[in-house]
Amino acid sequence: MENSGVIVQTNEQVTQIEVEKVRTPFLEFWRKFKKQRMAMIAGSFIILLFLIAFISPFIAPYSSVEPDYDNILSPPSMEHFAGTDAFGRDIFSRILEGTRISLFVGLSSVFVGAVGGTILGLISGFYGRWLDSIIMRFCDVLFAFPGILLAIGIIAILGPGLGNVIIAVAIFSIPIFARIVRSSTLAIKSTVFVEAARSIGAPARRIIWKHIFPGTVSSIIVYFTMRIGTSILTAASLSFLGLGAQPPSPEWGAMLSSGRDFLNTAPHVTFFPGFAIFITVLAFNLLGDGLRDALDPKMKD
Amino acid sequence: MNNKLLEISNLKTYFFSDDLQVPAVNGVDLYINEGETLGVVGESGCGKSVTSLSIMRLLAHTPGKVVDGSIRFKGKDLLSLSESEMREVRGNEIAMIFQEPMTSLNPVYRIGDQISEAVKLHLKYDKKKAREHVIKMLKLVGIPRAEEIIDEFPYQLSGGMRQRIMIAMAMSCNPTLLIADEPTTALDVTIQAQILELMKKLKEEKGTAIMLITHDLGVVAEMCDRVVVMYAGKVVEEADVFEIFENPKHPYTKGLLNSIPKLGQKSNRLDSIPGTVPTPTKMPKGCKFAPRCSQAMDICRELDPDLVKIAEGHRCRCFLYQSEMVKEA
Amino acid sequence: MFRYIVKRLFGVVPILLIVSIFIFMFVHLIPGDPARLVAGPDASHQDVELVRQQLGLDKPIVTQYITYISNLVQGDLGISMKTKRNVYDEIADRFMPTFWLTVWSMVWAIVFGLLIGVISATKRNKWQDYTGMFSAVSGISLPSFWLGLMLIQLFSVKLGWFPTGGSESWKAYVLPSITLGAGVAAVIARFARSSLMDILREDYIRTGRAKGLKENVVVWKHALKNAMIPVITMTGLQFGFLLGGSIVVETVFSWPGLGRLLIDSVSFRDYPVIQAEMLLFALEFILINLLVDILYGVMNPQIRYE
Repeated sequence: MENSGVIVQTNEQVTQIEVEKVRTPFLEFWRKFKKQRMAMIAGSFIILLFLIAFISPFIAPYSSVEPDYDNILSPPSMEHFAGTDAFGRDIFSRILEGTRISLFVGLSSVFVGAVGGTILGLISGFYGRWLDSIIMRFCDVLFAFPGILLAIGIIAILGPGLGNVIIAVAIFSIPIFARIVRSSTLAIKSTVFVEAARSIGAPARRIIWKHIFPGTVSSIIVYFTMRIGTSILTAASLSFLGLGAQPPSPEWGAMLSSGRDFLNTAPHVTFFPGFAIFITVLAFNLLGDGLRDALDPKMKD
Repeated sequence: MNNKLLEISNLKTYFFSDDLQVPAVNGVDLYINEGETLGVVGESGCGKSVTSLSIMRLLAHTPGKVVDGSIRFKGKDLLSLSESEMREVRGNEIAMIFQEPMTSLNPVYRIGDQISEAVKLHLKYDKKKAREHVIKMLKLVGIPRAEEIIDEFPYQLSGGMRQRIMIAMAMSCNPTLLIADEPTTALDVTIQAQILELMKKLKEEKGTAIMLITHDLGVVAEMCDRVVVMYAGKVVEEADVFEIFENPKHPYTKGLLNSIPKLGQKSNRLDSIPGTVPTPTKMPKGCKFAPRCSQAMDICRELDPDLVKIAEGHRCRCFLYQSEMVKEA
Repeated sequence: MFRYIVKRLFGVVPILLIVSIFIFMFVHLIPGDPARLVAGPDASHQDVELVRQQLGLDKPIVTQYITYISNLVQGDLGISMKTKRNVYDEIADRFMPTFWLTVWSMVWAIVFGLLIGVISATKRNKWQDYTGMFSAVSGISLPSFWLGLMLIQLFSVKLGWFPTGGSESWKAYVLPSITLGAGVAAVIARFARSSLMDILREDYIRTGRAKGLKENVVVWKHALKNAMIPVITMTGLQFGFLLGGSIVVETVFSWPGLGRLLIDSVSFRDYPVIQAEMLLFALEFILINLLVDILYGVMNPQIRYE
């Protein structure tokens, strides 16, 4: 009673804070994200890439498959922005076509990896005990192989090809998502609102999807974006090594690989596809960095 | 005795973020005489710590910057010194101990190495002499087994021990001024008393002047010769310690004193000052304390009073004691 | 400290066990008859049966695993299907070039990565920081095979400074190790920057400055030693990246190492070699992580003296 003045005061403070927090999480995120110029540029570039992936057949100046034996290995010019390859095909048009392949490989492999990893991470973090030990040991073993080596091993089993590359890359993305989701799950599980949901007898599945999963979404989004860059890079490396997409596919890594023999005389055949991989991966990494800073500044590389 | 060792006038330190500037210290005037202990008192956020960091010029790595005023130490203006000249002052003539003993020592270096670093730098002692000096300092601050502790790492020591180490480190080069920023706040009550006792002892032995920053008036009563009360980045009252406790003038000082529990008090009611410290971005017009002041007048909401001498050694920033000003208005 | 090391060593055992099972199962995971795979597509039915008996594929799977492990311990990794040589010899020949390539790549990656990271952290939000961090994110995004080929094109073909392949002189190491180390240097730079920035906010850094130490001493002595603890852990993890990257880089530079052997074996379906290489890479990776854990203990006084 004696301290009533103080109590009233604290209540006032609380209401004040609540009023200030009316901003939705999305607006709050957007306010922070807008400030990151590099990430904004990268994001716009990625939107452009998706656009290209959809409309490349309509905007490409030349066919990406028809050989043109009059124009073999011609250097960049006004007719052919990026020159032509050993079959006289326009490299610029082929790079536009290849955008779809790279984006598809990147997105689908990370998506499969993220779904698998998230489920394992949620189970591992929520149920704990022996399930947790088994899942985490499984992740340790996957981590015991450098990513690309694991992918090569999987391809050695399944055989070369783009589909198998997607599976291989997806598998080595699983443990990363599993670990991140597990640690967020553990953190959220101990907070009060989950305790409350438990005490009123909500079933486990409902608690996981209603209370825990939403809390892990922001870190999943950040890693998802960052993994896309890595996955595109790994898939291109595998194609370069001859284990992924096979010629005449306009996959960037495969295009680059086929240009190696002409490195002395026609370096543009290797330069442009490699540059396309570089800026695409760069854009996803910059976007991922920006998302991380806007969504969860505490998260580290 | 009455030589001014440090004299701060009109110090303004602002913090800059994006397009905002926040006046954390907004025109502080104070001085410290040689060998005396000055208490700097105020609620958190009133600019006490920023004032001390401004003296040490340790704001370079923060968004803060001194924008106006002067800090004269032994006659030289610290703000105009070059960085290397300033390094000669830091840890040597002015030393500082901080509020957080648990985290103020580097976890990967031995205690002895961390103390002797300053000794070698400022006193130019060689390795052997520095070690002897460090052991002497550790014994001085009452560390048992000094010869062993010197080779231990911070994690092996308790908070109170670490604060003793910090004091040993600060005193190791015989500074003429020691700035102690809430040195006991993070410690247990019994340890607090020990640390204060130690500081008192060292001050008497070495004649070091101390600027003791605290929000604890009990600590002030026990330690200080003179007191400066700060509110919202300014000094609101300044007097010797007896005067402050016996004859406080500023309503804020009175409020602070009333909020200390006293033995034998009849009612168990504790007076707290209503409201909170205004945030530097939302400073009220006029006297910064007016919105919380029970004696506020119309003029207080219009004009900000000056720090005016009301008796020998007693200055106060309040219109209640500036009748001419009130009449004019 | 001793207990810490023993604990780490025992922690590795289950992973080793599962990895060995994994690699042992490798041949069995391939669709089709493993005996047929090993014998080759042209082998007759009798040959296939002979191989099955030789490899013990007709025995129960647990017996097969025990045989596999006991052979492994004796250094018997089987016979290469391509060269008909002992796989052990095959790998031994290729080990040193890869070893030195990864070591040199790591050395320069650590030196440059730390340098860029420290400069970026101390010049936060200045042009040095922006340049450093943009180079770092570019380094992470660079396809190593492209970087390698471009370096060859510029420095070997056009300028003639370095050879395009081989591993004989020190000059042959320059381009491959730059190519291999670039990504790792970038990761170290980013990580060193963020760790160092956290540490520069610590109270003990302010204590150092309040002592009157030079800013360089504060950063390079007090801050960096603390920052090194997480950075070393991170660097250890990057060794795996380096091992994987060596596969690509060796192909680009015609490097006579383990990575190229692996790619050749995969295209030839030389399963005993693939199996042995997978095991070797995984072992190396586990071993390096173990060393990093131990180093972490050495750096951290709280672990070192307990």
